[in-house]
Amino acid sequence: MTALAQVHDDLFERMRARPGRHWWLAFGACGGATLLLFALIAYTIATGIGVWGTNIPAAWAFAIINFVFWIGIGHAGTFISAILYLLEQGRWRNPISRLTETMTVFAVIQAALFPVLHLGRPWFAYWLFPYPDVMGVWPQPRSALPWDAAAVSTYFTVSVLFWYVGMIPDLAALRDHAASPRARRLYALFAIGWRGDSRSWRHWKVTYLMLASIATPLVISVHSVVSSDFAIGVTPGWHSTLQPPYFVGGAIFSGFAMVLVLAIPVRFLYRLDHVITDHILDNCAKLLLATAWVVDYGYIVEHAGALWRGEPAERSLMLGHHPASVAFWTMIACNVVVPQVFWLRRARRSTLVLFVGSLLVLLGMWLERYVIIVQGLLRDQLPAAWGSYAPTLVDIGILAGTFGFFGLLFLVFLRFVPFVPVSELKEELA
Amino acid sequence: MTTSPLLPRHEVTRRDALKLLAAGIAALEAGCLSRAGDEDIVPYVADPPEHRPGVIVRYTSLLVHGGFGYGIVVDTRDGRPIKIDGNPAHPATAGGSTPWMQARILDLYDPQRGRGARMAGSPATWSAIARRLRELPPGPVWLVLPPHSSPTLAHLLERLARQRELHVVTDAPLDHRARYRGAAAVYGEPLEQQLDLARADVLVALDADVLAQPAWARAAAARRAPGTRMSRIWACEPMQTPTGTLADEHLLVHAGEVAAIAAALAAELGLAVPHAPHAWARRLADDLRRHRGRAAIVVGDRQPPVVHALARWIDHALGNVGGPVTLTRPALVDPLAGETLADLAAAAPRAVAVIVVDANPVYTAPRALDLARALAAAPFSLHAGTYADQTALACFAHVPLAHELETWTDARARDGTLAVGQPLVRPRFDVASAIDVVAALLDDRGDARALVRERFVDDAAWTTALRTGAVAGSQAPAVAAAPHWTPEAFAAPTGGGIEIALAESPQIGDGRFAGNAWLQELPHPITKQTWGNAALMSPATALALGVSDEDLVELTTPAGTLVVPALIAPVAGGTITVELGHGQIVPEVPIADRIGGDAYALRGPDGSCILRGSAKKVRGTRRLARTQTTLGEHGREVAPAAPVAHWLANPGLVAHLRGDQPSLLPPQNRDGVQWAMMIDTSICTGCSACMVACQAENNIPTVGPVEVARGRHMNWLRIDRYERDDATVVNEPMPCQMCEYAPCEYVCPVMATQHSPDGLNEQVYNRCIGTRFCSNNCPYKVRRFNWFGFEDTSSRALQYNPDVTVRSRGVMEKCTYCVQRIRRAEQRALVEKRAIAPGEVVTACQAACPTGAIQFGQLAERDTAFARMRSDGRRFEVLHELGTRPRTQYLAKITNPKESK
Amino acid sequence: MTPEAGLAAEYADEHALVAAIRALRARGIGPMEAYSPIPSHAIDKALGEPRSPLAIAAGIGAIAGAGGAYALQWLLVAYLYPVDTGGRPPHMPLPFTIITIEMGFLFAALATFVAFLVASRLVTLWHPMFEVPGFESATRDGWWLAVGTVDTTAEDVLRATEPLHVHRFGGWS
Repeated sequence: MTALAQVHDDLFERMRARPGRHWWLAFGACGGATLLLFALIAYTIATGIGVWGTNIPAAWAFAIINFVFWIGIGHAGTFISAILYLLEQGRWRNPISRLTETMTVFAVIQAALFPVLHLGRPWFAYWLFPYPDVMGVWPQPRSALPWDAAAVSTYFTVSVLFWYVGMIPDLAALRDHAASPRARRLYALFAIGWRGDSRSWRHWKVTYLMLASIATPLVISVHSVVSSDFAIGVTPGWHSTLQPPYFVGGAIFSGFAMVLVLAIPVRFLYRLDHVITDHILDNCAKLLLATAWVVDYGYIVEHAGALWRGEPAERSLMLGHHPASVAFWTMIACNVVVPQVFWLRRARRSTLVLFVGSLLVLLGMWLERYVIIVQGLLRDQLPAAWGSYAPTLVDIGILAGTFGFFGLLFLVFLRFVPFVPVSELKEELA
Repeated sequence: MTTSPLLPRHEVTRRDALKLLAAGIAALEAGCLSRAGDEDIVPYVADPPEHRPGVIVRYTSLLVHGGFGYGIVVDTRDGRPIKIDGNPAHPATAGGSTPWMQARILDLYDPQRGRGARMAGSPATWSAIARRLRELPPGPVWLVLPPHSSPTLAHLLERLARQRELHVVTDAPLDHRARYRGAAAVYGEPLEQQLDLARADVLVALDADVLAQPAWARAAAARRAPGTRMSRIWACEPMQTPTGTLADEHLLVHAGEVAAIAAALAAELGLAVPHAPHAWARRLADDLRRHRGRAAIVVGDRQPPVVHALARWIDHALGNVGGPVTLTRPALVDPLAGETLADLAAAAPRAVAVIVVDANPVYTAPRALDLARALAAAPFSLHAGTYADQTALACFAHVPLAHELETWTDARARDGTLAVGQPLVRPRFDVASAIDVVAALLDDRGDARALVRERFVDDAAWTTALRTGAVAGSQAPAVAAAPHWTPEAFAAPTGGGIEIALAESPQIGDGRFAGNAWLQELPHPITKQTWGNAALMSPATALALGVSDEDLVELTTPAGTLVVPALIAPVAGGTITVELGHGQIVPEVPIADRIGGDAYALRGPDGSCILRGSAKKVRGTRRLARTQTTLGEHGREVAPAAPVAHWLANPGLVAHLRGDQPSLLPPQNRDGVQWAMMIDTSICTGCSACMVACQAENNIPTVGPVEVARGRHMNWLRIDRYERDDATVVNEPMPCQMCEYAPCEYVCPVMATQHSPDGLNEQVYNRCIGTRFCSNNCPYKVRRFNWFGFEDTSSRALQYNPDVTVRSRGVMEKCTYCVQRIRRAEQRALVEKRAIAPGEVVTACQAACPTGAIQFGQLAERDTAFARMRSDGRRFEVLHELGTRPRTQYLAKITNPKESK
Repeated sequence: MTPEAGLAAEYADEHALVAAIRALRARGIGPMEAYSPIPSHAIDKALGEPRSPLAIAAGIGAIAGAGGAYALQWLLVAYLYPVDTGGRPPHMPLPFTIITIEMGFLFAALATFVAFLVASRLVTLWHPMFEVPGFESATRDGWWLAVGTVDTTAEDVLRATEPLHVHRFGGWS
């Protein structure tokens, strides 16, 4: 048997393992959470945004936090699959690139729910796109929200294209070696007739490179656009030129945490230790630590800036409100303290530490968006307008539901789509 | 060529078909016309003169409160009254309003008002009840009435008293008789104190919210411009009131201690009265001596008669009478006469009938009297009241009370000016007024109009009275009286425990307005609490009790107990204030039912509102629905204030808070008509009439206590209250600031908010998709969002202003500078081919404000109140440093404290 | 030119396939196409096909998307319907660039993808090569050569390169 055949058979055999009890249990839980998500979405649209905890002044809360959270997670996937590709880090990037691209696509799906759902009148969400309407009015491009619409739809489209194009050779392989005629027909549909002819491969390589080159600046630009939702506003804590690099760093930080949270169980359950190696996890942990420092630098600049500038609104928020806030200190614990453990090689090589640490980082990054968005609004310029905020069960249910929906999509993906880029790993042999 | 079974049996040619078709069409038309010809109808070409669709037709009328008349002007649309404003020609309002005046329009359409009379538990008609009244057997009849000044009612009662044995109980939950008793002690007869505050250099308020009366507020405001003529306001009270926020010298004391201050003051001025020296009183006496003959002392109704007597004596001692103070006979009819509720309770079983009109004594009277049992014991009891409240349920029969705008009334203002209130709309359901009830007892078939009209000499006087809203020259003449009084020793209130002071709610009064959603949701002028009351206490008292905001405390007096949440407020140490009117158990009035705590339960049989009792913390908390919880400026110069001496020495004090900031943006267009607003914080008392006026004008919904607690109240205009570091309190109304560089406009993704060429920040409701970015970017947080579908579909929607869109769920809304009024004026000016005159457009808040603190107009105006404010050196912008260039600007508050301590 | 009919031969590994291509090309036999499980630079060189010009599609898409987006924004907000929004001038180049850049990316990606499908003749659910027995190894470890002629000379040359097996495909099977 040739080396190529060995790799091919080994990987496909592991990926095609029949779903065990774990898969079904997880599927049930995620399925239930997904149903909850859609039920709560329907309830919100039918009844009104009042079923959430938002109020005046905290008019943005969970929905926008979730939006930024999920988009941010998506960015690490693109970072790994596109940027590391361009930087020719294929040795350790390749085995996880399919997983991370998938993570991106599904994370963006979660994120994309919210710009529509959080609207008071979501049935008019299409007014954010320029089309000739009877009112003779168009979207207003000085606002960051049409930028969001453009950036997120671009990011989603490019991510899907990049993900799909990369997958075509593997889908063709699944078509050719499918177990049942029905599976073969399904894979044939998505493999769109790929034969592996040299013309296709030539074009494919360039397309993949082009898409990676387009996805790379998207990593920076999309989350910078998302951060501009806040940066262009006058709210304290929002109105800062720090936001784009701070947010992009935070996005990749939270994304790497999610990569680890996904890769470690997949590696364990599908016995892929020799593919998703300790070295790869180690490198992810290193990047996690590096991006943690970008975020930590952001915290330092924000608070030191409030101290030095002496602007009353910032002082009230950064130096008055934050130190008294449980959310703030939890965030610091998760985003500043926890990542420091990854200076230790032993920590980077321990899947338990990586997994738990990553979960805490995800918590910390969610809380960071809460601290920025909600607390900034609660301590705005005019003290008489200061208020308070408390989430409702619907808020929490929707957040939990997006995790369930994400998990559901990911479980289905694991079942039916090759989650290790077999052709790329074969290429490494040559 | 076809043969149709419906047609004659021959072939139908094409020509035939066309002929038939034409004939058919002609037959159709002929059929229509012939229908008209068969039954003649006449087109409606001769409209009644008042019916002018789309035009606002205004009428005068009257509202009655505390027995006094308040003249109003009412806007009607298509025959439907929708907006109340004060009548400038009436001395009680001088054009201004109060929150309850603005809110009364809602009561007219309130679905909670009875839909019909009832008797013996089943529906009945008023005519059936009236027949019972006419056919009452001879015997004593007890009438419980609120204090009144109605000549018609007085005349009817006189007639009734001649016909049968009549006992009249004057029931005022918040007894006003103390001031008449005090006057009677000094003058030998109850005389009323009339005030001309424009002539007062010094105004002294002893536990009195003087400026709650709109006419007094307007007069006092005229003396607040900084300069040599600036007046000085002294106030001492157990809890800060709107008057207290304007006071230059403010002292928080126990309600029971006010008597000691009055005594000390009188002693300083020469009266031989037992007293203890009081530092504040000494300083006040010094100031009063410097302003002999140009001061006024006002005492609140809660204080015992001796304090009123002292104040009367002091007015005389200082020679104020004849200047700012005048004495007249009271406008109220027989304020001190009448029996008591205790007498009623004893006599009820032997009475032929007990009739309660416009009062709720089962709820408001001391519980020890057990009036419910007394009413049940009477052979026939009738309650004529706005709601089916506790008294109604205890009576045999109930008829809904007519709203003033549904019936003919007459009443006198406090100064005696008579006015007639005309109805503006037919009652939708069976109602009866006090005049109707007494007329029925008299078996007088005359209707209310005839009875009121009887009091007038001729048609011309009658018509003039109705058109202008007041009978000219009918104010009470001044009475020359000299004080003869030897005060006895009185004991300062002692006793263990803590003082509990019961106060009238500035929102729902003595509880009569508890069913009015606008008033329930109106933030308290001082605590900004809505929907309920609390145990209001100072920080020190809270510390001593071990409570913080929202912790439950149990208040106990000899009469009863009350559990309410605590709330820290500007209250004197060692006293707790609780407001009355809440905690009613009225299942048929959902807005009022079980909201807040029933403080009437604490009152003893003497009806005093100054109690001694105990307070202790109990387990549990209750959420308070407050609209503002942070009171300081926190380092931002948003509410500047200065003493007048400092201001005169530094006229550039707030110059750095106005003017155009440097900007990268092109200069905003200021050509043509440009609208702006000025608000003078020096004369804003925080009374909040403007807030209710805005609600009435702009169809603003109420959301209920749960939503207000969540931070979702909908008032477009709010009044921020700042407690500055120098202890000055500033009330700062916050409408939309109409920023020229509006931060809300550029963040809307769908262009639902934009700037008009005349300077308005416009919100386009039908384009808004509800992203709420505009609210996030508004530093003033003046934008409100429709979190649910808040629009009212009950009969209250009849009050909606047809010129203003009713907003649906998911849409942002905010103050528009009453754009509907601006456009209306523009259209009128366009039709009449002229420019809009200065002062032609008056916003709802501006019209309601009793002191004239809010002025609106065009930037190009000269010689108007608005233009004078624009050029005033006190002008500043809130959050000026943000560079928003707001068109709504303010005048800094200047106070006039006494220099020497 | 991808042959639609002719001879198909499978080889053991990349080297064998490349050698075969060279041999056939040296004899002028064509047209030829190679089928492999992974992309191979050696095959491309041996076949002598030109480089893929898809980058041009990306460039055209980028310019069209970016230019179109900026033009649309300017047209709508600065020219046709200028509305006073917070005192900001109607034409604001800096905010406009955000959507411009994103649309540049989007249309570059879409153009590349569409050009890819067109240039690779993809979305073909059936191709004559799929009928060749054993062709499924092309996506596993098989290296295949398709020659677009059934000339006996060509077939001889082909068999001389020592393929694992040879089949006819297309019209002649």
